Amino acid sequence: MTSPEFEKFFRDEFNSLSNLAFTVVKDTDEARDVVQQVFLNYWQRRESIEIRGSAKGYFYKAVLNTSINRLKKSRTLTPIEMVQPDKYVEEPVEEDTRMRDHLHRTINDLPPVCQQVFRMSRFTNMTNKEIAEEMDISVKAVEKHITKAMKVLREKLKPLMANNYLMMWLIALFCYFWMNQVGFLLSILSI
Amino acid sequence: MNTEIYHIVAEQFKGRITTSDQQVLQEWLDTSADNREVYAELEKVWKLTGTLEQTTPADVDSEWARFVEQRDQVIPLSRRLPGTGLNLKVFYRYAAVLLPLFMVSALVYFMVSGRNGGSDWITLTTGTNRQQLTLSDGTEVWVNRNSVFRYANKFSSRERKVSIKGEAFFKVAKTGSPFLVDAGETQVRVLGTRFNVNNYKEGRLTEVVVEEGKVLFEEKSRTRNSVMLEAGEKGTYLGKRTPISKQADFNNNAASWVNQQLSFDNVPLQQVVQDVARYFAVDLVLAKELENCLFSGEFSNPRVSNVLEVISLSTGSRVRYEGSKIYLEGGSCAN
Repeated sequence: MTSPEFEKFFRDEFNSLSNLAFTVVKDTDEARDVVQQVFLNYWQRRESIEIRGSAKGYFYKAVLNTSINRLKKSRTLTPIEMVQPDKYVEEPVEEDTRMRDHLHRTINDLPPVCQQVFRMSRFTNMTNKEIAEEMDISVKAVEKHITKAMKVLREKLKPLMANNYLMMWLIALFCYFWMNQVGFLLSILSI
Repeated sequence: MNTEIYHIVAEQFKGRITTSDQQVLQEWLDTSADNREVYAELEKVWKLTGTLEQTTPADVDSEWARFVEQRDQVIPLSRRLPGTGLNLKVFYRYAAVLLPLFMVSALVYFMVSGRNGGSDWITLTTGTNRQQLTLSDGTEVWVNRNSVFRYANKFSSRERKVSIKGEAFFKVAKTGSPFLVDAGETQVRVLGTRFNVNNYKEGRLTEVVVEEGKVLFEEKSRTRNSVMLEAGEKGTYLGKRTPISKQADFNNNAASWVNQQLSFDNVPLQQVVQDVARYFAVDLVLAKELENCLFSGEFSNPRVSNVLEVISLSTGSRVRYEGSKIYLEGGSCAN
């Protein structure tokens, strides 16, 4: 890549790359740092790096690897109790947030290749063929990984979603009875 | 079709499903209600994973600028010259960062030190004379002989700080901000009160006697070692690792040098002699048999010879001057 090409690529892809990093590290600044680091690494070693597939594919994969590594490192370095207070507790813990955390964790727990394939498929505009090239596996294997990821996610999130509906029903039921009760009390008072 | 085709579902969600795959998906959906339910759930999961994405796009211009800056700091291995220990470019870069930093810290330093009203510290050293002065806040200070008193000619609004080596008596004006007396290894913290600080013995012994109000007397390096002193109480610091002690101050003569008054009301002669010796700054030696004789008397603006005369009369003892020392000998308490 020549310098102007490189700059154009940087500008075109920075946001989609940091978006991809964000799905892993869950922090805007850190996501941007990851992308910066990947670009820096590339720049430093640009003479020795040989991109086999597309440049996009190379950077997507590099960003994924770097962010997953960072997440692992921050997990081993900072005890959960230390991280949690400002990252999760301060904002109101809504059902949505809980779901998102659960989802985040579920994806992170997927086997590495499966996780990377799924993220590339879900969060970038890469085709399965491009993913296959980048990961050096067959298109069939990519499809299998995507299917597996979706299956696991559905299974892991189903109880939570069902729970949601159950709660909704309970609340509706409660409201119904409560309103009945109010009507009942009012009828007593009017007598 | 029983095999899982979720990747086709994913393609559908991404909106780029091929027509052949579309057919496969439709067949799969038509097969059973279960499949349709699974499809609905997958759609929900898919949408939910979308919430993991970043919402705020970065400012690409500033990110590029940041990259360029970082890139230029990193010198490619091939361009690093062998043997040059100091790279001028790097040096200038560090200088560019450090110089403003240094200037800012210098500015902050001058602003903070300027908190004392931009004033310098004034040092007052007394020789054989006592000195009385009034500070900018209205606090009156009497500085005893051979003492060094340091103060600012204008106090900051947050804290009034002075220091004493020797002895001083304070009548602190009430202004609301704390008044801090630095006394060697100890310090006295007050609001508005009258008290005496004595630390002639270079840190080893510091005495604080309070005449009015309340003070906090504490060791500087270990403020847990502290006592709260009220009117008529005396705090004594004997050195590090010794808790500051607190006693009632019986003889009321701690500030005698200020009022030019010595008063004793049935005080053992040993104590009397100590006070007198301190007041006149003389070396006074008392015969052992006289130590516990009780003595009463009041002296206003006294001279050492007068006081000694009264003591010798009441005990029948003799006064003997020898070199720089004065001896009280003979006599007994019965007289």
